[in-house]
Amino acid sequence: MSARAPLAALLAAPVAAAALAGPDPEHGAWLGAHCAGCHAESGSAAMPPLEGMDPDAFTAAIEAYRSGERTHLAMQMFAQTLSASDVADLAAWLAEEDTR
Amino acid sequence: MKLHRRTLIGGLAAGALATPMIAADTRPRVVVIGGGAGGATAARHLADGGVAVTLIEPARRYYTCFFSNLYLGGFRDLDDLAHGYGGLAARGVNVIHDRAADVDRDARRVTLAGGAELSYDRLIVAPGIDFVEGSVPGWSVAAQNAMPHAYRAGSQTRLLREQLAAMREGGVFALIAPPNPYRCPPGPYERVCMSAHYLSQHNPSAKILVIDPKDSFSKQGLFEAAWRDHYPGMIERIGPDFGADKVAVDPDAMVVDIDGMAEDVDVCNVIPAQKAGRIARIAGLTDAAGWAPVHPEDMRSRKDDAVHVLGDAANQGDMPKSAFSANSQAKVAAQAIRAELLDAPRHPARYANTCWSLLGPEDGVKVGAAYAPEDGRIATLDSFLSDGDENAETRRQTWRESIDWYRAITAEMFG
Repeated sequence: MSARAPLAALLAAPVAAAALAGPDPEHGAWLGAHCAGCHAESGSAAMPPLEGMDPDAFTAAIEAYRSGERTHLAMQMFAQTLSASDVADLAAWLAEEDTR
Repeated sequence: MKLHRRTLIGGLAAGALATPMIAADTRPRVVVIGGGAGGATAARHLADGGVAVTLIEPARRYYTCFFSNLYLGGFRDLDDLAHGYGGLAARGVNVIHDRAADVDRDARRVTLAGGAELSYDRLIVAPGIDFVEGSVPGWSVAAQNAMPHAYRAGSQTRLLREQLAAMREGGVFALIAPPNPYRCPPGPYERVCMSAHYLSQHNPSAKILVIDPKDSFSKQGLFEAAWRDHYPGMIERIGPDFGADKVAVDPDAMVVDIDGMAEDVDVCNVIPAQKAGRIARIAGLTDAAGWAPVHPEDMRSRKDDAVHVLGDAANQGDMPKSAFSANSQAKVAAQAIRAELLDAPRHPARYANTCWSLLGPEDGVKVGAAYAPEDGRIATLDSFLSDGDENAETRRQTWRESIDWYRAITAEMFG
């Protein structure tokens, strides 16, 4: 949305207004807790730990699973269940973790 | 520091003066009954977040039922499945090794078998399964040494393994599968694979008779292909079309009666029909079918807003009764409890499950799904299942994945 979006459009679209607030790393952490069921600190090459993963590499991996460029039964399915804002929230959480 | 009598007395006096300054633990109290995949995960996540958590679990060493078939197959030692609670205690969980004997939901109080009473602001009930008496006529828990269930891991699993090892050459091992719903839907059939693997190495002329009251079962095509390809001629399954829904046993005579047809067997694994663990029933949380109904948004009991029921004991919708499911549900419940008691943020519930099964050496398959609340139940969003025509490398990867998962979930539960 451009910076010149009319105010009326914002008022009429609370969802879009919320999106303007940007990614929510706290929601990303919540989603990430579910990923940790497999992608734990103890992870391996096959199931790398989620924490510490580069946010861009993460986003690219999810996109590759969504497009079918990368194949994995579980990951393709889980990637499909994530919305674009879910992926952005997860990436934002990973970025926060990175700076700690 | 060496403590002298005088400093000790001085210290005590100062302590007495300071007493009013020492605040009592005002954190909200959560009592968790059951230290398995649901209870241990919930305890860990709550203890990380400002709640005083007490975990009630009778066993000092907990044997995971998940992966216990691999012990029967010789791919794991029983000790590999044993975990202690020191890690949770180090994270601040008050671990009490006792049995919950009663729950007074009006007073919000749990009474332990040892007599202690524990008050709670929220209670988590995660007791796993219990067996339905009389579901296989002739069998009762009193007969579990002659015909083990081996469906709560530990001494029963060891006993079944010993009986398989001691079976006469060319003997018959009968496995009586349970009706739905039950813990670990692929479990009985993976057990057939693992027993067959063991027998193929040590007693190759032995037979396995699967007596199954169900028309169909989890991963059926994959299991039946494995029985045919890995263990040709060893395994026969009898379904309800041949009377397997009318099975009775005589543990003293080691006879299985299938709709009037008596079969002599050498080893018999009876996996009875199941219901929620005993304390869920004592607490009045269960429905007519014996399971505890919950709200899908947060695993809260439909009978009591201050109680959450996790894992196998819960009646929640589409999720299978598995450790992965319980672990997933625990995170949702812990978040809801923290949101209520600590004003922590709350996000919409998501759930996931994957169940891996080992068909033979390095031959792993899996089934899984993502779930969300819908129309008052946990509903499947999407699912996946291993293909029957996967190559050996994919199967090996799936097996390796299951090992990684076991390490991950047990680290989260106990680490």
